[in-house]
Amino acid sequence: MTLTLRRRVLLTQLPLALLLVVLGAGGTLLLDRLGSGIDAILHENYDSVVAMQRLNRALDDIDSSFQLALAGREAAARTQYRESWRSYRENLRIEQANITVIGEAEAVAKLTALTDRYQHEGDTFYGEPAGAPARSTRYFAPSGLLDLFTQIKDARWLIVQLNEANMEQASHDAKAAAARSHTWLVAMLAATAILAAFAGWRTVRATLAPIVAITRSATAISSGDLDRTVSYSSPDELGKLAHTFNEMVEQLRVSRQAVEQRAAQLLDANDRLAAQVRERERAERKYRSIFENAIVGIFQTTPAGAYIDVNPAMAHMLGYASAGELMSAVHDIGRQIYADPARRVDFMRALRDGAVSGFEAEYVCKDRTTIWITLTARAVRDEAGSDAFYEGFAVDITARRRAEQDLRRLNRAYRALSSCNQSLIRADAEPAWLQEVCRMIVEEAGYRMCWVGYAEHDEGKTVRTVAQAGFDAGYLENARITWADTERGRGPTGTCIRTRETATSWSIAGDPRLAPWRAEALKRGFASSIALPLLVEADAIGALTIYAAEPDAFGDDEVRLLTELTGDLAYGITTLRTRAERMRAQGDLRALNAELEQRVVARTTELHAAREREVETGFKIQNMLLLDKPPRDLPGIDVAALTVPSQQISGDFYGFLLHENHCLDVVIADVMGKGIPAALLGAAAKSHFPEAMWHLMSTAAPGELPAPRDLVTLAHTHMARELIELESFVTLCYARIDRRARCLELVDCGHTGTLHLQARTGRCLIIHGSNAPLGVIEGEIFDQLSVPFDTGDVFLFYSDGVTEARDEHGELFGAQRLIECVQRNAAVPPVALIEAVRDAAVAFSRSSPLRDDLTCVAIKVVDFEPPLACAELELVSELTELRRARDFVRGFCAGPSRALLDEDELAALELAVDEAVSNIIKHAYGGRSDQRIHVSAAAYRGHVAVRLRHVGTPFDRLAVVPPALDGSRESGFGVYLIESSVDAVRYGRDELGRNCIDLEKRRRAKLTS
Amino acid sequence: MEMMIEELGDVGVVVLPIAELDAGNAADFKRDMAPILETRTKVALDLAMLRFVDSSGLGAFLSCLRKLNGKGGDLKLFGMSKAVRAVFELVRMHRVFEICATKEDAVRAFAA
Repeated sequence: MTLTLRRRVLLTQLPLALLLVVLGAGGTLLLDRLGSGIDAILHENYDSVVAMQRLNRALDDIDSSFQLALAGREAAARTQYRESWRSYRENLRIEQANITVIGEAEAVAKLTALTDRYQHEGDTFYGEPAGAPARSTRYFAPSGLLDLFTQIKDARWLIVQLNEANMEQASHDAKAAAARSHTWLVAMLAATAILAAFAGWRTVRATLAPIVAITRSATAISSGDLDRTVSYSSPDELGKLAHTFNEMVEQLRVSRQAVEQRAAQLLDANDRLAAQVRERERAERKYRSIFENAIVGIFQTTPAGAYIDVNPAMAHMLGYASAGELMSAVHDIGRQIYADPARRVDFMRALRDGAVSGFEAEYVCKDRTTIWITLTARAVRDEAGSDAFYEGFAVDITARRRAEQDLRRLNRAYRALSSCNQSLIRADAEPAWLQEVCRMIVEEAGYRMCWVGYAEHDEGKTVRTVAQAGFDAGYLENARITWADTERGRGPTGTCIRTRETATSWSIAGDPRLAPWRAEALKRGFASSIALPLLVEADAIGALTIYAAEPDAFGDDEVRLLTELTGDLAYGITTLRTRAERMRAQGDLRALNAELEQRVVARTTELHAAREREVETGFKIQNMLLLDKPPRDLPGIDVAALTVPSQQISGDFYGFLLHENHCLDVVIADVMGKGIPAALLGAAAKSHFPEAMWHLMSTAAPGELPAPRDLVTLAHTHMARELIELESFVTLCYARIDRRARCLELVDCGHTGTLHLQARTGRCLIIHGSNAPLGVIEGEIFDQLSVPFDTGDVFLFYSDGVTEARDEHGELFGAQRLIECVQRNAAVPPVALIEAVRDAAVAFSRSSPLRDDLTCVAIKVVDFEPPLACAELELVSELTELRRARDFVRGFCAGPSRALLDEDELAALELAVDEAVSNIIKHAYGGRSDQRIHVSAAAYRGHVAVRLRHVGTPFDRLAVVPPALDGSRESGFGVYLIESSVDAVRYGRDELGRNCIDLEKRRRAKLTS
Repeated sequence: MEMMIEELGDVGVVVLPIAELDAGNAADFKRDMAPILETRTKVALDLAMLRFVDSSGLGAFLSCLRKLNGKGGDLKLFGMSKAVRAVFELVRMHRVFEICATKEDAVRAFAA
């Protein structure tokens, strides 16, 4: 069997493949064993760590249940306690069943023992009655619940540590094994690579040798050497290739010999042919006449003026078909050929010296046109020495002369163009400038006449002359040129405006379009004319028309230059117009600017006003959402509140909550930050307090009020998370004034402090609590202070805007100034006191705007007489309710057990109430019967007070007219009757904004009881 | 309200059948008095039952008075309680109305 190339390659690669398979299998086996070992270790340890984490969470919950229980939330605490133990035990069992590390068994045993003690202690804790002090002792005492809690944490931590250490060891072992496997694999791979390289090299050497031999031969053959063969004989594919290659080279060698022989024969034949051609050319040249072929005209003439001989070029120059025709047609050169016969005489005179060159003359051709020629000639003399004939040659120089002429004109046109451009720089008025341009065109470029006409958009489409220069003599005045498509509009000017393209009349004499003007034009020597459109934004506003003294005066270059000039002219017109426009516009602009300035001033004022309105509106909203009206007419307490807004809305808020048992709750707070977000946050925070109150009241014993610290704690749990998430906080002061107990209960959460003025000693203290602001620590339990007070004492709650008001030097108003201000005003009512505080702070920071709102609430404890009895009634706004109102008053004052007023006094009070209710229904509610009227009555030792509250139109006492006591009017007695029947009438509003009518009826004799 | 009318000669003696005349029923009183006033010029009003009157009640009495005065007649009041009288006096109406002690006094006052 012969080894083909393919088999040989395959055989070499087989051992390599086998080696790779072995290597791969070994590597996989190694990694798999390594991995499964680690996995087993990690799994066990991980279970332990997870169990310990869950156990830890359960432990935390158990602990927090004690805190909940201590905080008074018994039911929740118990549920949490029970459920947390279940989770705790379950995880402990998992750990007990999963002891894998040395030392873990001991740690678990310790944890189990601690757990049993902890549970025992916990159960005992809950065995105590709720709220018992023993609970607190059990929790906080050494070896108590808290202590055990810490010990369990440590034991749990040890177990986690053990397992984590083991996991770390396992990880370390795995890394080492992996490193060993890596080294081993690298070594094996290196060996394989060396083996593969060796096998490859062998294969390549065996395969490549014959290919290299063939390639070398082919290269030699391509450079012409056909004697090379390839000596390689083998039965494989390459052997066959070498054999075929040698055969091909042999065939090529045979073909090339044949081609070379044929080429040699052809070269011989070619040489012979070329020799023949050269011979014939020489022969032809011999017969060819220089004369016939000359480009210049060659002539021989007699002195008398006849042609002896001319060459065809001469004949053609003069427009004759052949030399013969010329010679037979011309007998007197001087008259027939020379435009000026005298010039022939000059020529002959010039030839007296024997020869002449560069003699220029104007010849007349057969068609009567003239050409310019230059003659170079000599006189041929006979033996006698007289002129036998002249011979020479003539060159047509007409084109040269025309070019020279054009050039001269062009130069002038250039001059005109540049002059025009320069004049534009100086120009300031359009007509004068155009006049100047026309003058320059005529004078500098040497035209006969020139004018500029503007296309008028009138009925006749006339062309109005705006500038003119040169020889006119009334030509334009009578020309009556239009740009309409009529006879007088078809001249160059009209045509060019209409078509917006240059129009030329090469010959005014022969141009039918110029018939209307021809006679006048020729009279003034106008031979040709050109009209160029003045294009402004593709619109022809007019034309520049030029007349020349010669026909065909306007060459291409000249037209190009003139077009350029017209372009510049149009540009100039535009520029001048723009300039004029700009001058006008500048004037307008100045006026506009002035107006704009005025508007800006007006707008600024408006904006200012709008801004003020906005601030005012913001402040109103703030007032509505954040600032409660201080309650009025509280027996024994006088309350006033005040806010001076800074330039920004803030989140300061205060609220009041009046309880039935003579307690007043005050909350005053400052939300971090400014603007709408702070205000919204303030509104939200404020709403949590009534909610917390409602919630706690629903579970409290009747007549019991929830403690301020519980209120703040509950409100805080509702909002703490949100505040922390919003990265905001609220400083707050929650105070409850208990008039009966003469004690202020205060929860201060990082607020500015509460100022307490003691009337008896005149001392002023600032009370600070120790709580963090709301939204700082989640789950904070708040402390509460108790401050006893006496009649005449003042409490002032204030925002840091008061103490942090700054003067122009940046100095703070500070607590000391506040204390002094309060002490100075110790005697005045709270309303006046807070105004004094405000005035002091504002005066202090007089030149600098307030950085923060000034917010303060003042509460003064005053003497009060508790009412002996109170009663309330709610009425519907119907006149039929009047009887109920009277019965209520009568029932209150003259019940079965008392007689607060005598019969006359009672009847008077009844009448006053009747009239007041009647007035409310008729006037305040406008007769609507679906509204409410609240009646309350209070009995004191010396008088009975009745208050009527309604939400209708407020009563305007000043608008009441006196009654007609002469019977002339049937109504209008109401107010008079009220005021005559009771001892005092007051109209006002309560803290909820309801209108109040207060009636007071005194007793003649004071009650003794 | 249903009025009892007793004709004594040309005087119509009307008994006000209510204890309280206030803004709630003054309009009813005026309405029910209207036909009585229509056919008479001399009316005596018995206020013995009335315990309370307010400004609307006073207005209603004044309205009746002016109707009768308008056609040359008169309204006289009698049997007024102390409390009601006090109200009349507060607004000086005791000088506008002729207030008599008894029915007989009132009828006699018309004759005089």
